[in-house]
Amino acid sequence: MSLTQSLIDFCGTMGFTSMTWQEGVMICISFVLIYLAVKKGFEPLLLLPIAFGMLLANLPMAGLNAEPVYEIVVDPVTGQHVHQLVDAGGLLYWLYRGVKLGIYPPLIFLGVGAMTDFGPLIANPRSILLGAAAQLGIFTTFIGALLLNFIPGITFTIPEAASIGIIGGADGPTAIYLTAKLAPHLLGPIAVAAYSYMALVPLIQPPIMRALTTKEEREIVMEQLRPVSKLERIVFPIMVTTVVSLVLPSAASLVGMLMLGNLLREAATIQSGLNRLMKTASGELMNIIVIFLGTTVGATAKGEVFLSPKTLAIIALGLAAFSMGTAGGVLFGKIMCKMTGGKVNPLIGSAGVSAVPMAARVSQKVGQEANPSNFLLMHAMGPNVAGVIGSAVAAGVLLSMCNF
Amino acid sequence: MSEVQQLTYGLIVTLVGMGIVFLVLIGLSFMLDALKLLSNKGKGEKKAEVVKIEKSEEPVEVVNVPEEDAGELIAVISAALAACMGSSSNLVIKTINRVEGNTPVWAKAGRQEQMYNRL
Repeated sequence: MSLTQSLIDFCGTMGFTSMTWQEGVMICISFVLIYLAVKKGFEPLLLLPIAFGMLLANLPMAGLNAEPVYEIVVDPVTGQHVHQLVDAGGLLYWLYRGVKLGIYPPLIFLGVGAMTDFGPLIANPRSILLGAAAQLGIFTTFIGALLLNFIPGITFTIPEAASIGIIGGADGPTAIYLTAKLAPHLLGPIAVAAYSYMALVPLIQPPIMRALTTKEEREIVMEQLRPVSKLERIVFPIMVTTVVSLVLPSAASLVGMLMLGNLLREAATIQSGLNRLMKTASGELMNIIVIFLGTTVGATAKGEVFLSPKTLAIIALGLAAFSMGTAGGVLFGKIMCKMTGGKVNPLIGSAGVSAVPMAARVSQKVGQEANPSNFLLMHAMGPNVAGVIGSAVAAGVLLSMCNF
Repeated sequence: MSEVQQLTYGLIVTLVGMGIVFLVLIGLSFMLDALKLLSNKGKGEKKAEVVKIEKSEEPVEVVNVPEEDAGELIAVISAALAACMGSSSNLVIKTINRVEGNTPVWAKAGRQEQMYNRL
């Protein structure tokens, strides 16, 4: 074999020669996302692994997403047909099993539960309703996606529309959990849209909040929250798990793990030995899962699937989902304000779209613009954590009604 | 399924979905009310006692001091006043009232920072 021939052969094994234009574009998009995560701080914890996964998946010939290959052979001894492993499959293929089988999102919820203080919600039970009202965004977007079917060229099936709607829950793990079960091929665009908009909550929400409320309403100072007893804190996760799982068994894995994490946190104040479990759930375990989840979700964004008009529609619908959720929460906040005779500041309603704790901070900030001595943060944390439960319940409904 | 059929089904899912979300969360909110009653049974009595003691011990000069350690607070405030006005003998304090909303800007900023750090 001559030197030239072997050089040509080597060139044939390089990625450059077999790269498609879609893969090239996707690699550029992944660079932009990495820039946004690192330099601009757009939810870097998840967007960075997602962007890098996107890069890995679109490298030609690297085969990180390759499925394992089995061959059926006749066993020489028994004469039966048996499987023989020919190729073990790529790294990302195996890590992705945790998303596909719905394992990672509930484990993330375990950590979220261990980090969340449900005290403000227990202290003001009515604020849980704001967490329900803000789920309006999920369902209006669901309808919106189905309406787009009337435009020729775009078709969304019902499971696809449901997965797009869940972006309005502003809750990454829930969106990934539902999409992996209903429309796994859309996981890439939906995860990117969900996490990007979550990072943009401080830009999306304030104009809507100001437009829907009067200055007097924004100035309302709320009563201080009552202290919550240890007993209440411990009974709460057990109660929520039992009630939600009995009504909606399909939401049990998400809500159950969220509440297990929270129970570990609250019980650790009594049994200090539990601190170890609480720390692992909210620390190392969660970090490991975030790396796996982010990378593999990003890796589903293959060029030929991602670069389609559907992705643009999903990005547009995602924005609508966040806006409608915010509007739903604020409008319900106004109703509560009227019914309580002006004791509830409607601004806390917008925190009902999960996005903990960003959405609550936005309520605090907009409230303080109107009345500098007002502190809404803890009041907004109630609807905020209720939104997590609310979007998990909504995901359960969609999962049981749209799974064809 | 045609587009119209899909949309009709979508509307049904929306109605049922919002209904279930509200039902579950309203249910939880009422259960939380019940929980509050249960766990605060013992505490309610205690609070009442504290209020009673405060009332009976109330000093003559002070009319309106919140439930903090009243004696200590009065001592601090009168000392500060005395230092400011440069007199210690003929100072009579009749009431101490809390004025809402005059926290200095730097204190607010500090408080905010504290809160954000904990989240």
